[in-house]
Amino acid sequence: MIALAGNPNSGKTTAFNHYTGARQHVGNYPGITVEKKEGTAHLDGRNIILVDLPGTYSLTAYSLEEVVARKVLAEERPGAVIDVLNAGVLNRNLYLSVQLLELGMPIVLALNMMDEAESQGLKVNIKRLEELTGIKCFPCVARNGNGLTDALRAAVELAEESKGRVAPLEISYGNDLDIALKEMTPLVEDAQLLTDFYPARWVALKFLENDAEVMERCQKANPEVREKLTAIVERVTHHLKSTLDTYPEAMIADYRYGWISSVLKNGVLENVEEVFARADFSDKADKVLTHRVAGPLVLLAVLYFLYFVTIEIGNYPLGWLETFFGWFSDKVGGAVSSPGLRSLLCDGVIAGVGGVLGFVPLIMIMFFFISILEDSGYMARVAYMMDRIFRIFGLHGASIMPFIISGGIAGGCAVPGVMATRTLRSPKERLATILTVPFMMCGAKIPVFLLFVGVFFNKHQALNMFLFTLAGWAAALLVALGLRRTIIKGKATPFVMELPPYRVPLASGVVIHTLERTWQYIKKAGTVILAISILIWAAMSYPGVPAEKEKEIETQVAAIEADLSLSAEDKAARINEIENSDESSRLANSYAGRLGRFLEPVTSLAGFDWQTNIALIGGVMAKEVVITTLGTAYALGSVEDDDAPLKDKIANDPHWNANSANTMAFLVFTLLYSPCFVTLLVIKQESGKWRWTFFSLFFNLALAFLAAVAVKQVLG
Amino acid sequence: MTTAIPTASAATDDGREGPAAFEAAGGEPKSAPIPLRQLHVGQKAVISNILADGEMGRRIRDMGLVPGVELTCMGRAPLYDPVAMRLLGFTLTLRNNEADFIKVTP
Repeated sequence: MIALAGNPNSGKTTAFNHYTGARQHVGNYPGITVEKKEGTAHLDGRNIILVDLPGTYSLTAYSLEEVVARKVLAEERPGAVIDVLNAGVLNRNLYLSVQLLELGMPIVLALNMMDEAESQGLKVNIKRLEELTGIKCFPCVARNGNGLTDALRAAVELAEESKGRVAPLEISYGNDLDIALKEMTPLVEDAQLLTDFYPARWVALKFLENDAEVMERCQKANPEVREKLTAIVERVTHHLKSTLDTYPEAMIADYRYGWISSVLKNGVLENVEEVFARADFSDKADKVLTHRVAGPLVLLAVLYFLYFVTIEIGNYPLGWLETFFGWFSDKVGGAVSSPGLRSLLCDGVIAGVGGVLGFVPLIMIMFFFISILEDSGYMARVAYMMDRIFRIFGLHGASIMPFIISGGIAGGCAVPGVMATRTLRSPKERLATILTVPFMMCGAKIPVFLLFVGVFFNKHQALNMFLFTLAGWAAALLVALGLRRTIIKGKATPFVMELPPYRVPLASGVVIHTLERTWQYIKKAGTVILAISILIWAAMSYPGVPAEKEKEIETQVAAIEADLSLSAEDKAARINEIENSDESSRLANSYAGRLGRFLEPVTSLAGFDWQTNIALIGGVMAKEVVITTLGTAYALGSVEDDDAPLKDKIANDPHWNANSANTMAFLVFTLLYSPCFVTLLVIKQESGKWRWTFFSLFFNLALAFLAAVAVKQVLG
Repeated sequence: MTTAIPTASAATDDGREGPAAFEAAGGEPKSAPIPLRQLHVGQKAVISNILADGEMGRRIRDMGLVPGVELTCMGRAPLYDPVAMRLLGFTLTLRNNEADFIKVTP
């Protein structure tokens, strides 16, 4: 097994895609959302397993990515590591290489983007770099695969020679720290603290770096030795503070960079100052793209375009899928004679699964464009420009993309929105974004709002829709602020971010990324969805109406059929009326209906009658179901094709029209309450924990209810 | 592979004078270390000191910001924050309150 390590933006993933092509598997490390990528590469007739480590700048324990990368290196023990470097930014990229060497990993260096570096005029003396470091180095261009095979072959040879471990690099960290290390290393060795996984000097070094993960593990393994080590660290920390006003951690970093620049200045890089001083294409482009006025305008245009393409164009394949599932449902319905089973298959299974697969085109289109934005380097600029605003609410500049996709421009969808939070590397800000995007005006809420706004507002309908969309923004941002002050507390994750140069995205990378994400969604959502669809369907269909009532209805229908005084049209109308009322009483008698009626005394505080309650319960399946269920509850028959009867009913019903408070409370509730269950599942998938799904469900319900009660009581 | 040249002294190796030496010699006051936030767009400076520890300090150092490194302020976001800088061949952005931890000598 060979591992690929490297900084974010070093082209590591491009290299991995080139090595493995479609032969890769993406999963998550258990319990966390860091991606685990594995694949097989072919080399000289052999299959080689490749692991793509998360992109990191360092190997400390501050971010999950780094902890994971370290764990894989120590515990899964790859035979060798290909360290992918951006040849144009050697100084910073080598910082990770030094840490791999300190860890005793056998590495080869793949100096990627050699073409770019050369076209900038940068001269890298690879021979000299090899001489000075003793590591094999290969100039590469991962975009077209140049040099990658040589690097892999060298890594495989190195793995066979070294069996996964070489003598760790021991550099000087200054007199004070070197002395401390000399004292600490034997202690670690004697107690065999983590020495199965790491070199002893490295463990000691991590104590000096104040590495929480290593220290905790040592505490468990041997508290006594840990105390001794900590005492030494405290002594030297105090000494450094009083003599040099610095920390061991800072000192170690300084000396690592010192080692790197001693190598680079020793004939590896010649004309660095001159090249670095030159403004390149990206700098010029940023003059416009992040300009005070032009920057936000371009951003607005890009966001609108993204939204437009995802939602508007995405609606076509969505429609085709709906048509297909409708057709399929009809076919199945025709083939099954038992009404119970027919309802289960058509209204439960096919409707549920169809609803989930319906999101697939949206997700594909969205990830396609997001990959392009990310790979082109523009996404980092978006975060850069928006950060000042989103920071106020405890979020990150990159939060804007999920918000827009979820319905920041009315008509989005929270499912791809929650998935789009993957571009956020700050864990707290990301979680707060995941939990608040469902408040936005998604496309499924729109029919509900259109219907009621259409009935009750003669003028300014568009303005009212716009105000509700803004209300979604306000709710999301304020709740984010509240969450960041309470349950997702903590200082802002440092923004410190690289603005990578603008590049033309690689088609293969974009396609692989898009398919990966889509497949993950289908697999993960698809497994749980069936069960939940059936559950919701059963709650709304069972236990049905009593047998005598069924009989009664049959007799009534038969009587009408037999009535000679009625025309065929009248007959159909009357039967339809009876069937509608039958369906209404069936719904009222179902578990969901009973729950709705049971809750009426409470929900009447917000002005909801039991029909509204049932509709809202149904809306957890998908928000557009609110309208169809309301139609059924009011015994209006199917409103899927024509909502005129429901409009009339609502316009003439004193419950709605005589009391604007009821309507407003209902709309506020609809905007804020529990995300639909597909979103709830995606929240689990993206946050890694069921806890957040349940939080979303109950917290949003409570918040929506309080808001609705407030509206009702104030306006009422 | 055990050689080491500490960057702390790298700045003086290059022939640049430290801030203290500058002031002692009666150098212009503008060359005293200032917070990174105060750099104008287009202005160059050398990092003289980083005050942050813990996660912030580590993130800053991971990105190659250590004493002795030269950087150029490239621009600011539309709302004046964060700030973008070019150093060591790449562009880095920092929030203003993060830039306050970094003292530079113009």
